[in-house]
Amino acid sequence: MRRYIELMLRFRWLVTVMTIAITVILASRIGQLRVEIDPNRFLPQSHPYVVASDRLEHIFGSRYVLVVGITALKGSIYDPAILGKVDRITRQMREVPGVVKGNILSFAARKAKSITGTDEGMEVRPLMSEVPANPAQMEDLRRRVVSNPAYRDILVSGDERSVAVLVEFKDDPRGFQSIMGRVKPIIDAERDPSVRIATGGLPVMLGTMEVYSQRMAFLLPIAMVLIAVVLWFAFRSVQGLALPMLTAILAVLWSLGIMSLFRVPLDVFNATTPVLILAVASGHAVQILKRYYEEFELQSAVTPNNLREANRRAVVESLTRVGPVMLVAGSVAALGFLSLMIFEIASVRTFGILAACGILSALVLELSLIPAMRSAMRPPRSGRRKQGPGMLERAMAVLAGVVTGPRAAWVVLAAVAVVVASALGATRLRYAESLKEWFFDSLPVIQDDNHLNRSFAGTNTFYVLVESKTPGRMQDPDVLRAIDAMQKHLQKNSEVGRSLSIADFVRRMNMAMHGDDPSYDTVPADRNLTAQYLFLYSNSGDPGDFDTYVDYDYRHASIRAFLKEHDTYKLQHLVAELKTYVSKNFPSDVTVSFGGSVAQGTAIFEIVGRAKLLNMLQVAAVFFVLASIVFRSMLAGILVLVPLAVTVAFNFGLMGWTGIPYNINNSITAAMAVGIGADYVIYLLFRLREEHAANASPADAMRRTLVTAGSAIVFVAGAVAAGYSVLLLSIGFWNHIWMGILISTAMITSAAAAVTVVPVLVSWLRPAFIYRGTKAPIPAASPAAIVVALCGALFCGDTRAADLPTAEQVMQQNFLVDKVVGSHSKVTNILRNKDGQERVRESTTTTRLEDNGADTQRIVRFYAPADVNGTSILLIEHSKSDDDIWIYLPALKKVRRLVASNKRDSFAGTDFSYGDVIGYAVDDWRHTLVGEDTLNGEPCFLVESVPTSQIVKETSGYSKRRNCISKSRYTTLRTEVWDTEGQLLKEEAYSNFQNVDPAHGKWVAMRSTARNVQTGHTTEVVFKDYSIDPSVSAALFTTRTLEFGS
Amino acid sequence: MNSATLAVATLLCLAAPCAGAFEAQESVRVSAWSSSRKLDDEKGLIPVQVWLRSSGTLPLGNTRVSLHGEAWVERQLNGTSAHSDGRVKEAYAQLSAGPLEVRGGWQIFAWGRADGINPTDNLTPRQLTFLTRDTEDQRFGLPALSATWFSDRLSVTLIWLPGFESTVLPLPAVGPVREDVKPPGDSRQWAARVERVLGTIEGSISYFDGHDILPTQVIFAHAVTPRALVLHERVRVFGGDVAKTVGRFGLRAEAAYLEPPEARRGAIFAKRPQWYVVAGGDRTFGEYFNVNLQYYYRYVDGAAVPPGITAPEQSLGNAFAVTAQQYDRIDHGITFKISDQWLNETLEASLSGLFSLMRRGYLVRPVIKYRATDAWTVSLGGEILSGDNRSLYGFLHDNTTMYAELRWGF
Repeated sequence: MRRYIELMLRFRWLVTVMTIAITVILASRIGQLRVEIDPNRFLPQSHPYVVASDRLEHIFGSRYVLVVGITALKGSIYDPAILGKVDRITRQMREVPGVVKGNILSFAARKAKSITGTDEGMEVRPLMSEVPANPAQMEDLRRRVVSNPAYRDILVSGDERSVAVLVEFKDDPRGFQSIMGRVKPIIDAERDPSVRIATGGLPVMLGTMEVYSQRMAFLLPIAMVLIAVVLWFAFRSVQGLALPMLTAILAVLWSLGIMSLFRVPLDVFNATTPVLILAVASGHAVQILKRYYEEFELQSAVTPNNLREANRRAVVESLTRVGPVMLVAGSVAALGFLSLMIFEIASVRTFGILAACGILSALVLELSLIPAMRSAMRPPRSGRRKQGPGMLERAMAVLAGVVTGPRAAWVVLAAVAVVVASALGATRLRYAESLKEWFFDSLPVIQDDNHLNRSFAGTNTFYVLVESKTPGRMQDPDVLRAIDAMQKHLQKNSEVGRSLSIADFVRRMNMAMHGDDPSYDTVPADRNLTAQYLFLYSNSGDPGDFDTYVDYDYRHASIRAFLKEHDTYKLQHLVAELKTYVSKNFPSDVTVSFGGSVAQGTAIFEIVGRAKLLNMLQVAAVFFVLASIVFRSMLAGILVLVPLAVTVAFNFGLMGWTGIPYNINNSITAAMAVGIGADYVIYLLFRLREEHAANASPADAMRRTLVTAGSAIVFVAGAVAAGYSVLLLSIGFWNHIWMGILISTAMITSAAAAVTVVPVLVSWLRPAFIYRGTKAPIPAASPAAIVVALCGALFCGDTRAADLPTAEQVMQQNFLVDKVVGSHSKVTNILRNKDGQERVRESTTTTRLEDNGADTQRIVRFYAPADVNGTSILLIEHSKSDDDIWIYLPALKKVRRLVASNKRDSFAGTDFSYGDVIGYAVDDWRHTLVGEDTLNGEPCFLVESVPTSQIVKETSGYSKRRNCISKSRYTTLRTEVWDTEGQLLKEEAYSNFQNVDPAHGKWVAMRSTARNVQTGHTTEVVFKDYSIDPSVSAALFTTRTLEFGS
Repeated sequence: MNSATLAVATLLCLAAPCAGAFEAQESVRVSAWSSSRKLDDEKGLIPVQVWLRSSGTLPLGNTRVSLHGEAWVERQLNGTSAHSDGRVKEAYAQLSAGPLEVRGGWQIFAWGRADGINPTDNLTPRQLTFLTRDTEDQRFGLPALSATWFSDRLSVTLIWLPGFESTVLPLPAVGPVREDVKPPGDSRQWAARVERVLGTIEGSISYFDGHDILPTQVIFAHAVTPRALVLHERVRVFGGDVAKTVGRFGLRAEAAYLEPPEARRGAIFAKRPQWYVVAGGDRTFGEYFNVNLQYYYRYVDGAAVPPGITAPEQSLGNAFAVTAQQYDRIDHGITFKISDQWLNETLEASLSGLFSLMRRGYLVRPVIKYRATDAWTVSLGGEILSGDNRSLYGFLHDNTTMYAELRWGF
């Protein structure tokens, strides 16, 4: 990662130009982004209700029915002026693009016929071929309408004050707003003080939803401003505000561009997703930024006079440490969102892809453009560093005391109480899937819809599809009677205003043929009679009159029920009850299924109810597996899930207690919250592990973790919550408001659980992936120990402390004490395995200290044993980069360049690593003078050194070194090192010190031993004939000398 | 044998008076081989070899004189019969004065940064029939005078090779009578190389004008007697190589263009110009587990076997082309080596090989070495060759062998 970031910085202008180019390319694609407004994208396509609805649409026409209701404010609708409006609206609607002309139903529609019995048989004629011009014609119309009960409550209200025009629309790629835009002028032209004209039905609802979704055009900028405000409060710097915002905006542009590039269509239901991307992207940016400022503080203390260099190093260090964590956290979140791709609803899939693209874009930007720009920007003001911890940091420090102290149990108890309260709330969860509920009741569309539902049978349609494989089966009396009986059964339900089917017309024909005798208002028992009626009808009616009710060969029939409410919960019960009814009352060769807008809503609800649970489990499983892999601990997977579980519980509880309905939109909020919230724990655990590796005290590690990563989590949650809270401004549209409430609270809950419950559990459970290899907590000091410590402090505390050099000074002296300008020596390496088996390697070594005073060049030429005789190695160290290594193997007769070894690798097969031989840069380690000791009679300082960064830890292979440094010479007498897992790895001892350069105070141990306590392998290194040679030539350290040595 | 013994004796004599300044490595190797590497169906061979390598430097003011010699002698047992052999691999003196280095004597020039196969390695030959565990031990030197001038990052080498000896190829005992046509004594060979080292990337470009160390068998079309001439065509080789380490990866590439300007036209096989490229790299995982993978590509410019010759001639021509690795216009494949060490570096195993994707021919060398002590090493290994008869390794299928070796180094 370090090399990668340095590469980014080196080519920062190229990175910037490339990012601009990519942004331009992707942003230019956004214009071609296909936006689908098809409600099918919201539907689970394999659900039986949706399948039935599709079949109904295929056989009988469109499912999008617009109801236009005209209510006479005075008198009845049997008024030439009002019926004139009906006539004009009907005629003009026929000309509107997208209207299914043959399916318009109104008094003036050709489809609406009156059926009358005459002496000659049956008279079928249009209900209103022209607007009645006189009272007699008007009365005749009224009489014929009344005598055809099929139209009662559908075309005319029971009180005869309202009349309706029902218009069906085909799918329009331009959306329902476009449809309504074409319809509105026709309706508006008929408005006057004598009437109230209301519109209702699915096209109206969907069109209105499109309008409200477009609010994101101004909500998004407000969200950005709110996030910016949070960032400003978090960092109080322009950089702290601008760069995360830049990441967020570019991530949104990139994700939309990528969607376009891969031809993934967008839909109106995903209008809020950019806010999510904005929030998540800025969230990651905050984590990096927070760490950057931390690193800048450290680096600027090292080079106070070169803040630009400190800035560059801070960029590298912060990304080196947080970059991998961000990659993990971001990848986990992206995978979580991508897992939504198995969701059956296209819109949800789109959401998953868009969110994942956004997060991945943010990751790429945070690892390329942002470091490049940050390194080019002016370093933060130095005054900033002098500021003390902010309020949040102080609060986090207090919290750390709580979660690691005796009051930790209260935190868990509080969390349990929240979960229990949420569980209670969840029992009150109201399941509903009604578009109407997404809007405020005060909105005109809802007022209109309510009015229409009061006046007519209902604006919500529910279809029953009756099918048989036998042609003509729908004419059979048993089927017709079953349909008729089912309609009666349906209409007993208070939700159902009316229903309409072919049976209504057959009954009307039967009654008409019997002199309108009500006793014949039944389906004839004789199939032939029904066939004759239909034949008679066809003689005077139009061939397409019954297209909405039966198909051409009478194998399919529909029952069209009008419902006053769109309550999926009630409909679920209704359908369940109807299924039982069907099984008992319909012939076995006839199948019955259910569809229509209400049924589709129910389908969505059922899928949400079922799949959402699966989805939550799936996302949780993805997080669990990934976290377990990343941390190599299943406990880590569980810890990641804990705040998510609390969040989901709270989410459901909140819905239950507040009455927010559980619908598809609100159910997704849990998945979104889970996707974002997983980051928190991952950042927290990584930081805790890092701090623990660098600090033996669990309490300190926790405090630092919460003050740094914990604060960042709170800022991130604040930013996300702030971003989503803008949706609360979407007055009139509950959908946005609910989402704003649920996501914002979920973020806060998730963050709260991450910084409280997780630390408590970590402190209690002490998981190995964090605490591996640590000692048990230090027990309380015994009274005797306290007395001894006090005595020590009394007798030699202050004065001695004042005389002692600092740990850094000791280590700096130690680092330099054996750095000689040039040397020659013979070296014997004795390697022994745990069984005592021994190998002896003898070599000559020549070294030269480079002009930078840190790097050494060395040539090692082996002369024993025989199989390595003549093998020579040239090693040129580069403290800032990989070393250069060449080897000459006599058998090959050529010099071969070797891959630079990691500093942690064994040096020439010994138990000393390259790092042990070269030495460790003092600045890379945090040193603590832990005490003093005496070794073989020689007083020494005990210095513990821990890596300042993960990268130093990984490179050296050590999580801690404890050195016993001679007080008189500053040479290392003994070293213990712990591996990266915190296990004791090696013990090294140095003796036989020789003052090889008295003039410069240089000492070298002529004998060194290293014992790997994990393998039992030991190495003994003995120097002979050691001599200093200040004149050793640089020319010696070239490959040409490898063959014959110096 | 006599000359070899003489060479060894000379070296020993040379080393003795300056023992303090000299390093010597000797080893005695006793091994058992399931078959020879001569395509002669000999089985159960037990060579006993003594190796000596000695080198040292004598400082003479600002000038240094280095001497190096390396030789081996062998007594090979095969059932009741036995024969002896020996060779001076190298014996040269080197004079180093400032940036200049001049070397004279029998020298090996091992060029090329790629692993195992080196398109630019055309100066000094190998004894491919020699039974030894390490194929690099098959090299032997030629009399040469070389001069190298070194700067900080560059070196320029000029080489003059007055003598010539070709690579010893395994040739089937059956077939036409062969007549080795020695290159004319006055045809000198020379080479030059410019090398860049000590940077982040290193490499060289080289040129060689001399005789092809890989002999070419030819029979002139419609010849009265079916006598195969073993020729050593004059070749010009333009080459280059490069190596770089990237993180834990060592990347290497090498390419050469070989041109035989005087190839005998009219023969049933005539060596053609060819491009030969190798590229790949290696990575060490952990401390010892090394994986090396390379891709090679060889392109022969034109048909080495001319049209319009009789069917038997065609067959012979094809066989010669296979031996010279010019049967296919294009041959490409991979080379690999996987090695690891265990038990305090005492146990080492490696599996290396080459696989021709063109002809499905392959060569695989498994080796296990155990260093019982610093002085004693036991090795088990093998060399498995197989594939299409029109591939070199299919042609050399009968050289498949297994071996066990005990080596004492001192």
